[in-house]
Amino acid sequence: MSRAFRLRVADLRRETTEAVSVVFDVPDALASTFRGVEGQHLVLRLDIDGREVRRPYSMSSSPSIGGPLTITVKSMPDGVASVYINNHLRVGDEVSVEPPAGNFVLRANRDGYRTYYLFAGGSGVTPIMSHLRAILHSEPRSHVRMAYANRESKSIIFNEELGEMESDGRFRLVHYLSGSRARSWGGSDVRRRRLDKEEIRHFLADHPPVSQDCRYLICGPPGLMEAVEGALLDLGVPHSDVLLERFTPPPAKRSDHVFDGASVLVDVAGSSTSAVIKAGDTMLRPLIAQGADIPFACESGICGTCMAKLVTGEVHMPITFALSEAQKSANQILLCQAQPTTEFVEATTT
Amino acid sequence: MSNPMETAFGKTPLLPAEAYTSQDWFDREQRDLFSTVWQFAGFEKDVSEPGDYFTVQVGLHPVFVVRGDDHRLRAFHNICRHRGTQLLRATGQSSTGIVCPYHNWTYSINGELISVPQREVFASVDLDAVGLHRASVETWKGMVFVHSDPEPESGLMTWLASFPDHFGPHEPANLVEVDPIIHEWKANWKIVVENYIDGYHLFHLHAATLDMYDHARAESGFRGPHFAFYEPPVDDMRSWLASNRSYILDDVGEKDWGAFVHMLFPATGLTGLEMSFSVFQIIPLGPALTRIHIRNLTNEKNRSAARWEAGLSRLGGWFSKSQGADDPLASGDFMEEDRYACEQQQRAMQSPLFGVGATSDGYEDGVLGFQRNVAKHLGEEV
Repeated sequence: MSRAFRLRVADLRRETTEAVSVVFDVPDALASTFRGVEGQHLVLRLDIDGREVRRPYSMSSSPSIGGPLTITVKSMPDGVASVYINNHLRVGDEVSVEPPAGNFVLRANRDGYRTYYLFAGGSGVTPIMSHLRAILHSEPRSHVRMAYANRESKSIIFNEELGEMESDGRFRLVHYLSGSRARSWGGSDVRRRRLDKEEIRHFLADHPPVSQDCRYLICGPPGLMEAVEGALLDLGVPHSDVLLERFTPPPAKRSDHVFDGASVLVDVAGSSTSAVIKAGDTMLRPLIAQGADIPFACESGICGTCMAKLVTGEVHMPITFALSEAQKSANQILLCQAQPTTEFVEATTT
Repeated sequence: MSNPMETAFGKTPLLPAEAYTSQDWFDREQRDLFSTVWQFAGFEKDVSEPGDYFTVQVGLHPVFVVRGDDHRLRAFHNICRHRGTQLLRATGQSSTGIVCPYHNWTYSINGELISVPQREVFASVDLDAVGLHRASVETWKGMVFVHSDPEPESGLMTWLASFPDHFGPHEPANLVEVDPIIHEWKANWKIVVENYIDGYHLFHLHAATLDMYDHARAESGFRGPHFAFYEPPVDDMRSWLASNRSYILDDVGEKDWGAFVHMLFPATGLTGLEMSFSVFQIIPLGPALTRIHIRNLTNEKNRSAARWEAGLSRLGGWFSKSQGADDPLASGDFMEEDRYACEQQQRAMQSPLFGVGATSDGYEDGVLGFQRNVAKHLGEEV
């Protein structure tokens, strides 16, 4: 049973020539449903040229501070939905939206005393911004060091708000501009370099932790995320202190022993549906074709909307970014990624 | 012949004399107090580069603190997982790894076991699962604190409670260090702490040495288990400061002139003055022997010895060596005055007639509060 609610677009705010913030009007009755926490995303179900397109977008708003529910969307060259949102969505339009979900979330420590290292690339700043505002607001002892990569200064989303936040002595921001004609401007610390391993090493040396309890948040294009995560782990940062949010999947792992013609059964809110899965196919689409009302969104293993619990059998999943280690050990699977490796597979979404 | 409690004629002390003289009390304090709380261990600047380390004793636990390639500090128990040999001594640099001197077992600066010579002779042991025992380290205002437990019951900030609100304007991280001073006094560590937080003796023992501050206007109290103390300068001192502003630390504004003289429980004194910030590490060595390691910070301007001496000569003999007089009470050095009082008190405890006759209202409340906190950690009824 997929849940989505019609929300009215209350405002559209142009952030850069390529990015827009969409502010939703959430009726009081849905306020708790749509509250969410920093770093989560919403799945939008857009009706574009008569076809339903589902896409997850990170909240740029910070629920723990308040303020209206907002996403910020950068127009991608071939992005059907992002182009539609940037160019065709209008104030007053109603959009089907699923409530906030996702694992890119933090748990505050007991002392509210941490050093946060935020790494953002391009529109990956969206969930980072959501966290940043909340950290500075809710953890008066915590400090934030942020590295933000863009091609050029005019593509910097939230440039003005970030500039204002720099007046808080607990926040330091370094911009990395990779475009050859990138120019700097007054006030901010700017490096005309790509944010690569060497720069990350310098960044950490220039910004040693204030509290030794550190968290590292990364969101951006795949190349940047890989470089940052790799550099941090090379320098000895424990894996458990790094939190990533991926917008696009990395290359999938292949499995040679998927089962051809497996029988699968899924229980959705007490109603069972079965299907037969060909080798290489995942369970999601065939089950939906048989009438299963399975919630789903990205179909890329990223958003976690189609999570289910494996009851019988085994599956191979090329991409499992939406699953935490704890969820994996608790036999949670993503139906959009699950390829049966046994003859029978049974799962439940409840 | 006489119980000290029976000789008292006013508010009585909480701890018995044996708390200051017996090896048993000393051992219990090491185990149940110093091994179980956050303690000052050094400054962040002591370990500014990856691989820099220092060692520190935390109650029963030898611990070292090392800066990683990610510039985070980590603390480990300073014992090899093979036979328990001490791995590192004093301070130093070890960016390539930590090698046990006994059998050359080698650990990374993140505590992982990375090399065992003649690996094949440990065939049945899963050495990959072995790493150094972790301890905890946290930093605050440029100071490094350690705890022997990798998951202490409370974080450093919880342990400091509301103390940071009363700490004062000093930013030790902005200051530079001048020569440290080490004393060894023949007195129990608690006598030294009690002397440090006793407001009553300032009027008397130090009448000629610490007279630049207005003791009658002192404000003090416990913040959690920690004792916070402030007193403003007297008018003479204030006008001297006003005409010598170049000595004064940038972070200390005129409204904050005065003496912040705190005691982080159990045994770290923090003293912030107009021209300096000092940490008094009170380190118990035995029931009647205590090391006092004083680390002094000031600004770059004052660092040159001439400026330092000139600025501090105003403070009697503060931080400078005894001025030559044989009688500590005529030395002009308040540290010598304190040493005399503490050592004499320790000696007096040998007398059968020893007793604390009375404890003043107000000025000596810190002493009783401190004793109560010690007793609590040792599970003593008071």
